[in-house]
Amino acid sequence: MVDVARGAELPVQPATPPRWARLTDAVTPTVEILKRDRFALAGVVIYAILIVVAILAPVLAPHDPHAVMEQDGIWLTNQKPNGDFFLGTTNIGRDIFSQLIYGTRPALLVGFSAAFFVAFIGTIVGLIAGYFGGWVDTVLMRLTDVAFGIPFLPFVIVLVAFLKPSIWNIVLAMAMLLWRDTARVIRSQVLTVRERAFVQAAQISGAGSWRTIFVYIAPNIIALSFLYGTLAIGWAILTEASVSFLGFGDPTVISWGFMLQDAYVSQALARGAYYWFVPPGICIMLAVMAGFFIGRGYEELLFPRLRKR
Amino acid sequence: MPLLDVQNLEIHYETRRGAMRAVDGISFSLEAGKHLGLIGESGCGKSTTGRALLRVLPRNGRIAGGRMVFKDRDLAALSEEEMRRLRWREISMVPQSSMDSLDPVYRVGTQLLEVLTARGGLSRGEASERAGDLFALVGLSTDRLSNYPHEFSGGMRQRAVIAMALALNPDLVVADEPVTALDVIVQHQVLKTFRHLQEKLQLSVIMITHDISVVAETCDEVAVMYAGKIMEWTTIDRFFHEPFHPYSLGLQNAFPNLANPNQALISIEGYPPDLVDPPRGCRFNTRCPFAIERCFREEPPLIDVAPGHVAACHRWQEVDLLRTLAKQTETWNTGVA
Repeated sequence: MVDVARGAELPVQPATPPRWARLTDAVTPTVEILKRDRFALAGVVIYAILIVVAILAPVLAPHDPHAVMEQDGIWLTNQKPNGDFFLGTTNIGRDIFSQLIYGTRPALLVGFSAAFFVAFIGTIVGLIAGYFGGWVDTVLMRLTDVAFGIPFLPFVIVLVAFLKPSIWNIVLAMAMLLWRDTARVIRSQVLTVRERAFVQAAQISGAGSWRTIFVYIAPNIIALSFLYGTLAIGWAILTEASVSFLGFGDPTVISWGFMLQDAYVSQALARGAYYWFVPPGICIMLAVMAGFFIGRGYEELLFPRLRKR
Repeated sequence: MPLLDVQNLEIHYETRRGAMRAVDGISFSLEAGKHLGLIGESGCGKSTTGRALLRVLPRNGRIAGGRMVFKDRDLAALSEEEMRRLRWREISMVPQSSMDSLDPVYRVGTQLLEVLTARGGLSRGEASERAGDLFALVGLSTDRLSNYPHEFSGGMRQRAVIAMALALNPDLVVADEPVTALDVIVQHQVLKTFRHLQEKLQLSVIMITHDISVVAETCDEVAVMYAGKIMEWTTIDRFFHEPFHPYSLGLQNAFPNLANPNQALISIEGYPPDLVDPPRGCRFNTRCPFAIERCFREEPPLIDVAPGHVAACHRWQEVDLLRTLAKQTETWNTGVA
């Protein structure tokens, strides 16, 4: 006899979940979002391309980005785009296209490492402040207020001036300041999660503070950390470009910001050398936009109410 | 020797206005294998009593007096460490909101296994087997162990929480409004599960609820609480057929009667008293239509009104008159002395 009530509870999954089930569970909604949200898909595609280009830069770049191009002992300066130099050369004869290719490396390096530290530090601070409350919370949140009070770009410039111009110091500056947004958001989320019955049950059953924080609370807020992480990628790339453009960047690393600065000081605009400064500008724009597109898609995953029917 | 014997339990909440006496000297006991229903309206101290048994009161609550003797040990006097060893293994709880009780990011089975391995000391193999048994016991398919809480319906979630409460074979389960958020059909299924467990495991349950139909369906005994006091404590049969306390009479009026569906529901006017500064005399005197001068002067003790039946009312000897009057709507609207 068919029991209707039990029929509704027929197994939909194998009795023992396979090890990889959790991974696919995490990936499936992401794939769903990408199918629906063209912007997020575009963001992912842009990053995929940038990553491939960064890895294959030595293969893809036709010339050494630092080398001065010459022909028969004559420097090939200010070349217009042609078959040999797709985007022309700079005022001292470096190949612009190769610079653009190599520029993806510092951009992604800064983007991903800064984003990681921003999300990581912010999450830890938010978890600890939110969970322990009391004076721990007060100290950490006042520290966050201080971080909010420091203007970001001047801080980066001062820090880079004190240490030495290096992309790692830009990452350091971001890690020191930009955890503030993540920390605040995570803290407020922790405040609600820690009051929920399963967390209290764990505490009462003898789970220690750290186990409670990292095993029971953290998985419930980790998606927000990812969201702030993806948004930070764009910020980091933009920051590196700004700092380089202002001339405080690492002079030995060719980044898109460096290219813009190089073009600016050598008056490329006045000479109408659009092929020099427009491409790095577009690259910066694309990378930053891609970060925000992914962040936006992720936000939709977190707050389904944002979904349009 | 009862499994649990509560004597003069007092629980205070510290508030800005002073100590709120949420539970004010209540006594009851529970034999092994019995189900006791604690009923009363919001704020009468029933949940507080339940939480006190596990010593999981809110931060501002404390046990101010009395004893809770459970298997020869006074729960009120145990150290926090001893209490922790006892929780879940000997006394466990089915909390009010099953929605909140399961961690949304872990599979239900994972959470159940964690209890069995971390608290029960079972190996992973033994634990999976036991988890399957527990799910079968509460009427859930074992395939469901690999689901996440959001894939469960409200009733299934409640069953899963019951399975977790039973995981370590406790002697006593405190069920705090276990079916309040569920629709009546699912309520019935969950309550049937409790009945089944009582027969199968000789489980003792304290069922906290404001719904007397829940008590009718699952409990052997019932204790009626009002404003931090027990007003009446008796068997389920006597409670429905021969109630003594005016508050019990009023509660029964306020629920629909299947035998007489056209009978109007009569509510008890007014609100429970302020427990920071409770009224003199009987706690129910502000709302009791039968209150006489003595009720405002002295507090009625719990009196043995019949074998196995106690009630706290000065006018218990006039109960026949009270029962007749209590059926009439005017009694509760205007009040008679």
